[in-house]
Amino acid sequence: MLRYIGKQILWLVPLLLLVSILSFVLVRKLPEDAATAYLNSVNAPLTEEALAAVRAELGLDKPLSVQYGRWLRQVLRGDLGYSYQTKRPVAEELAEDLRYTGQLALAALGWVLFLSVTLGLLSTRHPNGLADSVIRAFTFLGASMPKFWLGFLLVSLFSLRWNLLPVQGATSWKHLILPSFTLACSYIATYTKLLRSSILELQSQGFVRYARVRGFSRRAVTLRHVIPNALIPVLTSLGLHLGSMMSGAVIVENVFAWPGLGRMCVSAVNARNYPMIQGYILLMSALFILANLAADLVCAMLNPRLRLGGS
Amino acid sequence: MDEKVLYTEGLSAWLRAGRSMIPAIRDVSLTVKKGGCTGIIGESGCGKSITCQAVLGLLEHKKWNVEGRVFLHGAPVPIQDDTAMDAFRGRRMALILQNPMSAFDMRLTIGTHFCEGRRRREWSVCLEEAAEMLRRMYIKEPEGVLRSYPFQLSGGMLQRVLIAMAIGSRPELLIADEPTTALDRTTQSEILHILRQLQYREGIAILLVSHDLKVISCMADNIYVMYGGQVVEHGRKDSVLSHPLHPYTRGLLQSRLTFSKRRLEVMEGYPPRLGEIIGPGCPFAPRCSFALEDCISVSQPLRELEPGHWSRCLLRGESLGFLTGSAGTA
Repeated sequence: MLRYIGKQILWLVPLLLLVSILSFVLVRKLPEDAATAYLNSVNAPLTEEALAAVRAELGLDKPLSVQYGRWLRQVLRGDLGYSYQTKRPVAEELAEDLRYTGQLALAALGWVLFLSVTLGLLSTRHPNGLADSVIRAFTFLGASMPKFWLGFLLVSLFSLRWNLLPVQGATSWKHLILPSFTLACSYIATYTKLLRSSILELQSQGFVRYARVRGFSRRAVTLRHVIPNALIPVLTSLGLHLGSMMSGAVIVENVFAWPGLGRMCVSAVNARNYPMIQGYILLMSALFILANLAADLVCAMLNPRLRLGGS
Repeated sequence: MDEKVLYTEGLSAWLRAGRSMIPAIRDVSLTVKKGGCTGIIGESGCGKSITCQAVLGLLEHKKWNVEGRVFLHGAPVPIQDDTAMDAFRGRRMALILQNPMSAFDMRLTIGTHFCEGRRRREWSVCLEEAAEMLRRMYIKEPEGVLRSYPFQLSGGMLQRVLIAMAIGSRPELLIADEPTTALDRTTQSEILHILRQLQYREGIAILLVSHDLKVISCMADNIYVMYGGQVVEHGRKDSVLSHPLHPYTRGLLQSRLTFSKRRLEVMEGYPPRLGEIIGPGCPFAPRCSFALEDCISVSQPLRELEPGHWSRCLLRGESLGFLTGSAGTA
C-alpha cells in the first residue's frame, strides 16, 4: 500500500511538469497579451513604446523557453511569483482563495453524502412507489439543470422572495448554504441514482438476506450492511469528483460572488495574469491527483479484499 | 422423545405473478421431533427450499402469498409478520445455507460477524465464546479464523463458521438447506459429522433438506419426499428407503449409484417448473409409468398405507409391483 502511495506521488512530478508547460504556452498564445490587458485596465494609450516597456518589465520580451526556464527555477525554489493584478505573492493569494473554495467543496460534499444517502434509502423503501417517483423526477431535474441557472433560481426564491438567506458574499455560514447546494445538486442526483441501484442490488444479496435470517432487524441490517457496502462505490467516485467539484466551482463562485479559486481564475484569465493562471493550474492538477489518491485509499480502507488481495 | 419441536400444518405458498398466483408448495405438513432429524428429499425445484423459507417467514409479502400454520414447541410462529419473526429467526430457529460464501459480508472479519449487534465492551467476551464454538467445530486455530476475512477461508471452513454462528444462540431448531451440496466429499462427511454431534450431544432438532439420498439416509430418522411442491410420501427412514410406496421415491432410489452390476436406471423427464403444475392431479403423473387416468384428474390425499408410512399415490404399494426390499438395499 505504501509503495502504491509513493508511486502515485512520484507520478505527480512528470504530470505537473507537462501540465505547466502546456498551460504556459497556451496562455501566452491567447490573443491580446498581458501588456495589452494591463494598459487597457489602466486606460493608458496602446502605443508601441508603452507595450514594449510593460513587456520588458514583466519579462515577456524574452523567448518562451527562456521565460519558462526562469519560471520553473523560481517554482523549484518555492516561489510562484507575484500577481500582476495585486502585486502580492501568488502562493499567498492561492492559499486564501483555496480556503474559500475548500469550504464550498466540503459543504457541497456534506450535502451530497447526506442527501443522496437519505434519498437513496427513501426511494428503495418502496421501489416504484410514490416517494421513488418523486425522487426520480428530482434526480432527473437535478442532473439536467445548469448550475448558473439553478443558482439564480435559488437566489430569487430563498433570498429575494422569502428573504431567508443572503444573496452574495462570504461573511457567515448562511452565505455558504446556497452556493454549496448549487454546486452539490447535480452530484446529489447522480449519487442518489447510484445508491438506489446499489441498495436494491444489495437487498437481494445473500449476506444481507442472511443477516435477516440471523435475526437482525431490517433497520440494523440496513445500517450495518446495506449502507456501508452501498457507500463504497459512492466514496470512490466522490474522491474522483472532488477535483472536478473544485474546478466546477468557477460558475457557482461567479454567480454568488464567492471569493474562491474559480472567481480568482476567471479574473486572472481576463487580466492575462500569467503567474496567477500558472499557479492555479498547478494547484488544481495537484489537487486532482491527490483527490484520486485519497479515493483509492478510502476504497482500500472500506474494502479489505483490495487491501489484502484474495479471490 | 416424541415431543414435537416443529410442526407445520397445511403450509402453502403461491408466487404472485400479476393477477394470477403460481403455487410453489401445497399443503406441506411436516414434523420435526425433539432431538430428531427430519429429512426432506426431492429433485431441484420441488419446493424444499421454499418450505424452509416459509417456516422462517422469509417469503416476502410482496411476492408471495403464504398460508398455513407453523408451530414451534406447540406455540404458533408468526410467519406472516416479518418484524415479529426477528424474535424467532437466529434465536430459536437457525438456518444454514447451501453456499456459505454468500452468507458473509466481505468487508467484515469473521469475528465481527460473530459479535454483530453486541455492544463494543461485550466484544472480548463474545470473541472468546466464538473461539470456543469454532473449536467445537474442529477448527484448530479459531483465533486466526476470527481475525480473517470471509474471502480468505475455504468453503468447508465457512460452512463450519456458519454452523457455529447459527447454533451460538442455542436454537431449538436448525434448518439445514443443502448444507453439503457445495462442498467436496471429504468436507461433506465432516460437516455431517458435526451436524450429527449437534443433534446427539446438544439435542438440537434438525430439519435437513437435500437432493442427495446419501446425505438424507445417513442423517435423517424421518423422511419427507417432495415433488412438485407437495409431500408425496413420508415415514420413518427405514420403511421409506426399504419399501417406498410412491413411484417417485422408487425412481429416486433406483437412480442412485450402487456397487451392483445392475444397469443404472434413469428417471425420464424433469420435475415441473413453477407454474407448470396446473391440474388437480398428481404432479408426477406425466413422468410416472404407472399413471392412470384418475392420476391426472383427481387430487390425492396422503394416506397411511402402513403404520406411520404415508403416500399420496392412488395405487397401493403392492399393485405397483415393487420388489420390496430390493430398491432399498445395496
